[in-house]
This record gives sequence, C-alpha cells and structure tokens, in this order.
Amino acid sequence: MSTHTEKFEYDDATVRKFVFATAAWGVVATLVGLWLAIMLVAPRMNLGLAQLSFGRLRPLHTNAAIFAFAGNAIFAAIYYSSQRLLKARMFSDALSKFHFWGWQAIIVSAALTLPFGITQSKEYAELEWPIDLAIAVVWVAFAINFFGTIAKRRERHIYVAIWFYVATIVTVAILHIFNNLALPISPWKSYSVYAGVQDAFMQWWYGHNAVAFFLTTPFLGLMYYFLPKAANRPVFSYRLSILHFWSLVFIYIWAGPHHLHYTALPEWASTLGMCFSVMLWMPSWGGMINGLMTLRGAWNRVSEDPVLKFFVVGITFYGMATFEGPLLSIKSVNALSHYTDWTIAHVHSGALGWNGFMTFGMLYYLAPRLFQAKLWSKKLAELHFWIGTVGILLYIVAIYAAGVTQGLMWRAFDSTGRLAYPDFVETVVRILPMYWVRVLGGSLYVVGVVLAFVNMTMTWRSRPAVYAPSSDEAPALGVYEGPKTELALPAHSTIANTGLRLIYFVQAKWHRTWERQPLKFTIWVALAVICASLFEVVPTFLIRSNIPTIAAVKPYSPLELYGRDIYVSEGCYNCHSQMVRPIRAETERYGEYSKPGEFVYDHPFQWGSRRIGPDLHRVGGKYPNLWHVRHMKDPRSTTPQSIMPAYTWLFDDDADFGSVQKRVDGMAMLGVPYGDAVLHAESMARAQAHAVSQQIVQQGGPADLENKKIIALIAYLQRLGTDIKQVPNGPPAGDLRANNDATPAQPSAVAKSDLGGL
Amino acid sequence: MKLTDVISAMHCSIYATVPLLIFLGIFAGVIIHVLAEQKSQFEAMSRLPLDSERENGR
Repeated sequence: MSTHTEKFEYDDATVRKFVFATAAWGVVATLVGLWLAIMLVAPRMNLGLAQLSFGRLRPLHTNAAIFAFAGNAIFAAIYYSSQRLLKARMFSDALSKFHFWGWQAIIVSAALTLPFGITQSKEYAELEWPIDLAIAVVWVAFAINFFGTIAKRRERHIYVAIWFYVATIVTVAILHIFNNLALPISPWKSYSVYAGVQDAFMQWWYGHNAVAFFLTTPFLGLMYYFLPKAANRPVFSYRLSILHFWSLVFIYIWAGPHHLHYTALPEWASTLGMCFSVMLWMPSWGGMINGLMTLRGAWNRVSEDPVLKFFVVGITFYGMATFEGPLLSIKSVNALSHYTDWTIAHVHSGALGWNGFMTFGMLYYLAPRLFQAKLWSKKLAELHFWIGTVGILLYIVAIYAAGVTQGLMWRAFDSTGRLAYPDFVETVVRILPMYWVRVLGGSLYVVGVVLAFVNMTMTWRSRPAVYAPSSDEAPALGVYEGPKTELALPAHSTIANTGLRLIYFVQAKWHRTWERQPLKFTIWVALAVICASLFEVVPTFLIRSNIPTIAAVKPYSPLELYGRDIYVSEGCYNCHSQMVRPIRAETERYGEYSKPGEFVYDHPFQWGSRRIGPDLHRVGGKYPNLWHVRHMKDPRSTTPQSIMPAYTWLFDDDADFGSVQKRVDGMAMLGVPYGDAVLHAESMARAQAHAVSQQIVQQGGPADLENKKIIALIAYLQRLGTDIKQVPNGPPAGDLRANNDATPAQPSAVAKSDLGGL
Repeated sequence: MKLTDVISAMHCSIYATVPLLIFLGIFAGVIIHVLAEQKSQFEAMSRLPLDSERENGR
C-alpha cells in the first residue's frame, strides 16, 4: 500500500446548505400538515380556495415531508459522512451544487404545481412528467457524484453506512423510473402507461419501497455513522449490521402488495407481500437492537446530550414502526386497519419519530461542527426534544384510537344483521374529538421544528468570519496488499478446483472481496432488487387469469374521461377509495365487491388508500345528478355533519371541451379501444354534457351548468361501478350512456358469469 | 404467439415458493459470512466512523 500521505479538504459548504434546507423545509412540511389537520375539523378553513382544498394540499404535505424535509436530511447525512468514511472530498463540486439547487428547484416546482391540481395522483409520486424527468436528471448527477467519490476514496473498506446509501441510490432510481412511466398529452398532463390492477401493483411496489429505500435505508446509514460518533463508541455489532443490510435489501422489495390486501390484486401476490413483510421483523429489530446497544456504557450521557436523546427516541420509534408494519400486513389485521386512520398513525410514528428525530439529532450534532460555533442554545434543543416527543405521542395515540374506532364502526352489525352505522358520516363525527387532539399534538411538533430552525439560524449567526477549512489527510489508495480473498484456481485439476470453489464459498471470502469492489457490490444490490421485483411484476402483468376481463366493461365516454381527470386533479383519492373489498360489511354498505376486470381502462387507478369519506366505486346511479350538484356546492346541504370541502370553483370554471380530444387520443394510444370517439370526442362530450345538464334542470336544478366542469365530474361519478350492471355487448365505447339517472341497475346474470370465476 | 400467451400457459404455481428459497439461500450465505469472519476484522471496520475525522468543530 502506498505510504504517501495526501492532504485534502472536505466540502462542508454543500452540507451546510442541505442542513439549512432540511430545517426550512421541515417547517413548511409540518405547517402544511397542521393546516390539513385543522381543515379536517373545520373544512371551511380552505377559505373557498381551490388551491387550499384538502385533496390538493395533502400531496404537497407528503411530498414536502418526504422529499423536501427527509430528502435534504439524507443528502446532508450522505455528503457529510461519505466524505469522512471514504476519506475523500466529493467527486465534483459542480455536481454537488447542481444536486443541491436542482433538488430545491424540484421542491419549489412541486409546491407550484400540486395546489393547482397538476398531479399524476399516484401517492408520493404525484409530480407530473416534466418534474419527474428533472428528478431523474438530478438523481443521476447525485449518483455520479457519490460513486465518483467512492472511486477516488482513500479508505479501502467501505463502511456499512455507505452500503445503505448505495442501496438507496440504486433502488430509488429503479422505482422512480418504472412507476412514473407515463404518456404525456400536454406539458402538465400525462396518463400512466399501466392500468387498473397493474397500475396499483406498480404504485405500491413503488410506494412501499419509497418508505424502504428513501425513509429507511438512508436513515439507517445515518444511524450507523452519526450514532457511534455522538456516543463515541463503535457500533454494537458489525456482524449484525451486515445481516441487517442484506436482509433488508432482499426482503423489503417484496413487501409492497401488503398495501392491497383484499383488493382486486391477485391473492398470491398479496400473500407473498404479507410473508415477506412478516419476515421484515427480523432485520428491522436487529437494526434497532444494534442501534440502542451501541449506547452501552454511554447511557449516562443520554440525559445530558440532546443529540443522543433524539437518536434514542428516533431508534425506538423505528422499532415500534417496524413492529407495527408487519403486524398491519397480516391480512386479518389489515382487514380492520386498511383505509382507516390507523395507517395514518403508523405512518406518522415512523415519519415524526424515526425520520424526524433522527434528522434533528443529526442537525444538532452537525450545527456546531459545520458552523464552527457552539450550539446557540442547548436548552432550546432540550425543549424541542420534549415538546416534540409529547406532540408525537398526542398525535399518534389520538389517531390510533380514531383508526380503530373507524374500523370497528364500519364493520359493526346490530342484532338484526344490519349495519349498526349505515350512514358513513356517523363514523366521521365519532372521531372528530380525536382529530382535535391531533391538531394539538401536531401544533406542539410544529413548534419544536420552528425551535430547531431558530437554533440553527442563531448558531449560524455565531459563525466565524471565515470558516476554517475542514481538512484531513490519508495515504492514497494503492495496490491492495492485504489478505488475498479472490479465488485463485490451479490450472489442471478439476477436482481441486471444485474443492477450492466450495471452500471459497463457505468461507464467504467473496463478500470480503465485494466490500472492496464497489462496482461489483452495487451490481449485486441492483440485481437483488431487480430480480425480486421481476418475480412479482412478471406474473402480475403477463398471466391473464390474474385479471379476468369483463365483457360489459367499456371505456369511459369522452366527457366521463374528462370528469375523471378533474377527479384526479382535485385529489379526490386522498379521501375516497374506489375499491369495495369482498368483506360483508363493505358489500352491505357499498354494494358488489370490486373485480380486477373493472379497472382495465383506468389510467391511472384511483383505488385510494384511506376513507375520510365513503368508498365511491359503486356510487354511480346511487343518487340523482341534482344530489351531486348540491353536494359538491355545499356538502353540508345534503349531509349536515360532512367534513368535505365545498367545490364551488367547479361551478365557476368552464369545462375545457377543446382538450377532450387530446385526452381520448392519449388513452387510445395506450390501447383503450375508443372507436368513434377517436374522431369525434369533443362533440360527443358536448352532447353528453347537454344531456346531463338537461337532467339536472328536469330534477329542479340550475340551468347554467352545461359548460361547467361540474358536469363532467358528475358524468364520471355516475358511471363509476355501473359497467357490471350492464349487459355485455351493450352500447359501444364512447356512446352516451343512459345511466345518468337515479335508478340503480341490478347486476345481470350474464355479467356475473363473465367474471372469471370470482 | 405473445409473451403473455407463453407465461399464461406455463401454469406456474411456484412463484411464491421460489423467492422464499432464494431468500433463505442468500440469508444462509450472509450468516456464514458474518460467522466465518474473524472478530478482529469486524472491530477494525466498526471503528471507521470514529477514526474518520480530525474534528475541527466544537
């Protein structure tokens, strides 16, 4: 090995920027979350503005929390720790700058598009295609910078934290690209190339693994670096950390389908997701134990050091959330918990407790080192810790109670065998006190985040006039002269070769070799993720029996398609599901359970993941058009205790009939059999709008709605879930449907027999 | 003949079993690795964060 020592400086300027961005976006993300929590108890707080309505603002909250707050935090962690673990400055200062400013531009563009209804409607992947492309470019720049740094490292062994970062970079790239494949029809509108069941599968393959590889693996890397630093002790068990890493890489990627239990997803995929989710207990708790045990002999310092306090509680929440996750993936538990606020409580225990507190621990650790000044106020950090902890507990305890209450009320039957709470709104009103407690807990958490921002800013103000360079020195990496672990085979003996290969494998020296060869290591991580994904994706996409077709299911008419796009744009999926599960309480409440073949033209799917309001898959024909007019204009006029916001702007905004042809053409390009509508979409949409508005007038409603967006939305809602009630070979695609009245049709025997034996 | 026809005709009923076996194999391999390695090696690796910086902060 070379003995020549090289001096170099770390790039801490980029880390400082990411640290500030983390604190600032943390304030924004939690404030928007608090605003949303307030709107759930006081729906008029959207002030009548479309841009502030719950459906549009919720994706802004989730994107800000995940990609702005947590995203900047993991970049700060990666840039700081990688340089020191690899004993090298980042590969390129220009790429570091491009990464930082590019990422902030992406966040700002999210904030400028989501409130205006520009969305793909796929949870945590809402951003439209131009921003998706920008994300891909910035991510590639980040990857080049990161792997370039590994390539010029001065430390031969690659520490386990770096492994977690490698897994993050590789897997997030794969997830982002494949989940966001879409056909653009305009600069701000695209349709997912997948439909229905397949789209749902891809989305939750992505959604779950966004949690795994954006909110878990990089934070574990953070834990494996910053916790030993803060505790001044090596990690409890390096062996355990290796097991932790490979188990997560091999298991996590399978678990996505547990988000779709009892839906139209094939049961084998759902069961597979459940099995792997339960297996996640093992590595997750191994990691938690490894983290907490790292503090052996240092527990006395926890009471004095806010950094360690945040880390201890953060890791404890990791243990709690990763115990609860597998629990929720068990089908019988999921039958109760799914669509309820239980999931929201689970998510927030992870996000606020694990991601939030690990981030704050890191920020308080880094602030004095990066700004080269004493932390402005240790007492303020202590106050932040306690106020944040109490805030999380108030939030999650209340919302756990709300979730279990919802689940139990939805499935309760009285002594006569009828639903005990047939009006959905009864189950909403019952949990409103818990929503108020959430507002209180959320407020405390937000105050804590603001305190952190103030502490960071004041520490920064105490910085020296010129930062001292953060310099280090290490010998350059020469030719490896350590123990040989590569397999060397004698040339002539087959038996001896076989024996040597066996010994090589059993002694696992190959792994040791990989740890020095980042390219090979990265390729194997990528292969593990890709192979696991293909095992689930290929059968779901290519075995026809997974999605039995239904002859009666036809494409949406041009007006209905436009109405569906308005539904997507308003973010209705944030409160309403479109998936009646084959559970008696649901079929009693909503009607026939949902079949896979009913969604084959749904680009993208709209199954949703929670029910703040009732499921809508069978809402078509349930109410007259006029009911929808009144309900959308003022939900309290039809359901006095409703917490749904009024959608008054849909009555003011003109329908964009000129865009309908483009929408139909886009769908046709994706293989939706549109027939005549490909040539006459706009005129067909106008004709149906006229028919629907005439029905509204006949029912005693206003006469001026024909050219308004509300008509398209009503046309779509009235179509929902009605196809299987039609006889097969009924009206051809694109024809005006005659089902825009209040008479619910009955499922025909023919349609039932065509459901692939379901 | 499309790929869909081929895959649909395969009547594969082992999709759930194959990945489980793969996982168990890999898991066994990793366990062998961590058990086969000498403790002193791991101790050196686990100290990397602590050796990684000459602190200039306060």
